[in-house]
Amino acid sequence: MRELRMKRFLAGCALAGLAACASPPPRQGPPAPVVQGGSAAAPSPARGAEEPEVAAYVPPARPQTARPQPARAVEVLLQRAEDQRRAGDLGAAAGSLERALRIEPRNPVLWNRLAEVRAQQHRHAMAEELAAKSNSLAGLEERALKRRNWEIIAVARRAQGRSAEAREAERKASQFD
Amino acid sequence: MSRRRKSPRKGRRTSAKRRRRGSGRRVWLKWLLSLTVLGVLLLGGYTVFLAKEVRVKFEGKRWAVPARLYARPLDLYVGAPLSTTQLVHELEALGYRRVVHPKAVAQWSRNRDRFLVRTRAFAFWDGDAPARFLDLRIRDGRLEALADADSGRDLDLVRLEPPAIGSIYPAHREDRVLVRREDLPERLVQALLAVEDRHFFTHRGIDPRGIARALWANVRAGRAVQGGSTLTQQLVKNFFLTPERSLWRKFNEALMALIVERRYDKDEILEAYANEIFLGQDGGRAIHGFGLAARFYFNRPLAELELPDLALLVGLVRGASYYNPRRHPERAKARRDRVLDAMAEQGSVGDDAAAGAKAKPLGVTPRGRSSTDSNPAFVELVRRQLRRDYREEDLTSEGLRIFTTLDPWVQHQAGQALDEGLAELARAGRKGADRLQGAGVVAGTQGGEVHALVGGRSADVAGFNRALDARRPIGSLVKPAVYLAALARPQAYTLLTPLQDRAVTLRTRDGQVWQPQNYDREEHGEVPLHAALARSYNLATVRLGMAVGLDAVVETLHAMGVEQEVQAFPSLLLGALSLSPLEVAQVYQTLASGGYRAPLRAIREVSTADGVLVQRYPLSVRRVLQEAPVFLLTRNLVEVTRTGTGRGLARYLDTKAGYAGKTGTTNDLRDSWFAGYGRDEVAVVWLGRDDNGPTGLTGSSGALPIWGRLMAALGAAHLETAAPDGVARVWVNPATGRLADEGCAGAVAFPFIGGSAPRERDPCSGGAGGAEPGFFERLWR
Repeated sequence: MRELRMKRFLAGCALAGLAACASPPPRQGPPAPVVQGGSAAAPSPARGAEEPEVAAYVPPARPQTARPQPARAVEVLLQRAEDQRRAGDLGAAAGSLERALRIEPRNPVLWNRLAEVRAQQHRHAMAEELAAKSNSLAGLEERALKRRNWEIIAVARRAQGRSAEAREAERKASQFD
Repeated sequence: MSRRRKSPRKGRRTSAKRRRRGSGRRVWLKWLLSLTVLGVLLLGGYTVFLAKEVRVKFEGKRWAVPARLYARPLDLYVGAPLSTTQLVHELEALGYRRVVHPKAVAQWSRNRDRFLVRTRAFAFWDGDAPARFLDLRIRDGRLEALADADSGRDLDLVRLEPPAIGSIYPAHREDRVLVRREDLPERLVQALLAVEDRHFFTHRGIDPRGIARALWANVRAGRAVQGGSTLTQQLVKNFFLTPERSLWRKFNEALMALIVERRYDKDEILEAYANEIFLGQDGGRAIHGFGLAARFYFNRPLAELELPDLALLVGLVRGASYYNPRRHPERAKARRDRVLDAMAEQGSVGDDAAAGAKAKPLGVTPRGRSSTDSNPAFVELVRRQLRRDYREEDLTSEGLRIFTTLDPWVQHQAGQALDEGLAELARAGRKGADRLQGAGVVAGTQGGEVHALVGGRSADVAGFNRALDARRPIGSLVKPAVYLAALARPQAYTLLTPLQDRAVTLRTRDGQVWQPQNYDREEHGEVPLHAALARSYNLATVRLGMAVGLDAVVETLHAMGVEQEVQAFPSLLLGALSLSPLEVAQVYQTLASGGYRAPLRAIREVSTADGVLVQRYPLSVRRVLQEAPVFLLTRNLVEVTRTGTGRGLARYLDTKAGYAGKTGTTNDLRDSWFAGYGRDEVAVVWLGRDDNGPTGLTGSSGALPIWGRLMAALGAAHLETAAPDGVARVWVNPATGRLADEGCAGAVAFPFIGGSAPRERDPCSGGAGGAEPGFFERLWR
């Protein structure tokens, strides 16, 4: 039964090709009765005798199953950045992407584009870190994005004379083919 | 030049003639002649000297224009988090005025959730934002609709102009906003001429008629009521001369006025005057020129002022402190009305217009309402970051425009949260609450932009910037570094690893014995690692830190952003490390971003006065910690706010949703800290006394409520739950530390770093459920 639900869920993810799979499947039924809720009593620090012995991470009752659609504003800025990049105005392109990142700081596509711009500016150390950041925010299914980030990282490492690490990045990139 | 030399010479010759007629003696004549020649030469030389000085002043750097600081511009787009209260606050900070029907620029109207706003244009470094007429609708704390009010067309993204938040003026503390002659409103010039210098456009620097009139008025009044100085003389006086009152200075003043008039045309002189004139004092800052005065008194640009406002500013020329409209509104109004009368007398305005203007209230903003210089702590941070890259004189004279990361709304909320929190402690009858001080920092979790910086109570004017300069022991705020150093070794430590919370005795290098204690002075025996951090147990933490190694903890602290040297003493494990609130914010930013440290920045861009980009301070991050252990630690810090020492937060936030935080308390309750983060904001609050005396407050009784109040006011989003690669959530029975089934009573899903989850199965999980953990693990790899 559970297996079946999982499979259906995964199939749905594959169909949608969305960030949906970045979060665990919605749990059915009531959450495990563990957390006593934050007691609103006056805080008495470090004296936790009345606390249940066990209390740790509990996933929220309704986990987010999909990254929200990017705001229209972010799409506009992405397009603007791309136009600026094509026109060779890399500084302005970076500015537009940073502005978009203020609106959606955890959007991995934006971090990736900023990494692209920095790579184009030959700011390799920066590009490498930004691409890694993009990877850290990207969902499991965002394979093309991850591959591209690893490629940026490979180029950046090679340019900084770290060929062994560059090869490692290339190997990682190929895993997402 | 020649004319000036002529006129004095002429005078002396006539007098010499007279004397020659009187005496007729050749010797006398000779003497007189030589003396005259000498005098003329000296005067000529002196005039040449003065002329040069005039030229240097006028044509070299005429005015030191301080760098102007701007807050972040507000981005408007559908879906943007924005409440009606915040929008009103933003519009007021920009000096926009609420009207019934916005017809002119910088006006707005409101009908419940709908706003019509006429924005000002602004030249950003990456493009001009034109003036617009916006139609906005807000619902449930979001911008629901955004359109052009003229065409009705939807707009995707609009940037409001950034509010000015201060300036970096030089040591002599002159501040000004430069205006050009063509930007001087005609009404202003008319008003100025009407009361200060009627014949400005016809005299040659000195106005004998004006002097005669002033003399007559003074004789009639029996005291000095009028000055006969022309605008040119007043300019020269302000521009070149010291404030001493003497005949020699009067003489210099007249001579220089003549030189100035000879060299420069009336428009240049008027422009210089309009930028130089002293119009007010703001604490240690001198308000020079009409451009800044418009901002200072009305929080609006000069071009937007109307007749009564302009008349008020002109009235201040005669005595900015005597006619100070904030301190002496009656005097200021009388003076303004006199200016209006003078304009009417001379026909530059009609009687009706003058009467209408006189009926208007003064209209000055209350002090502090204008955003200029009301964020001294943040401005100081900007100043320090700028000093790394710019020379002091460039900052104070070149009119640079500094675009900062300050979010005025967040700043407002942070200041208020601190003030209210301190007031609440005072109401609760806390001993010494009146001597309590505080500081706070709010920054973006991913990009490291500093949104707000509070350096003390708002009433505190001493200027000690505690957010930057109060380096205090951080107490238990250090513990996450200890636990992180452990969790970074997943084969040795998981969140469930049992720790011994039992007495420990350590010998320091100089042979002293150190016996730390828990806050409740009890031992708690064997506790799982996550519980030891959530409840901030000292003994378990010290044992853990010693097992992991002090060097590993020090290394972790440096990775998190601690720049100063850290002594690897055991007491470090309980927070014997002094940091400023800003430094703590950096440390927690690194955690909040999953291990990607973004240097905290207060500046985005610097441009010249004309908007040409000089420098950008780009977004940069550096991966300094492994993501997986940081994720585990964050989960553990969420437990702190749900059930641990930070559980009092539930009064302010929905802590079930997930906010990470840590309390910090130091010896004898001298410092009360709370540091933590949601999805987008990392915030730090510190309370303590300037004399470092005991406050009677723990982290959770002092700083925590302020932190909670602040994050709630900001509507701070809770953390997202997506785990990084290599972290699996596994159901365990926390009582036994063994694998469990989701259906097992009391089972909890804990995150584990690949392969570190327990392998032994709890009896409750059996049969069909047996494959479950493996399945989850596969999903999460």
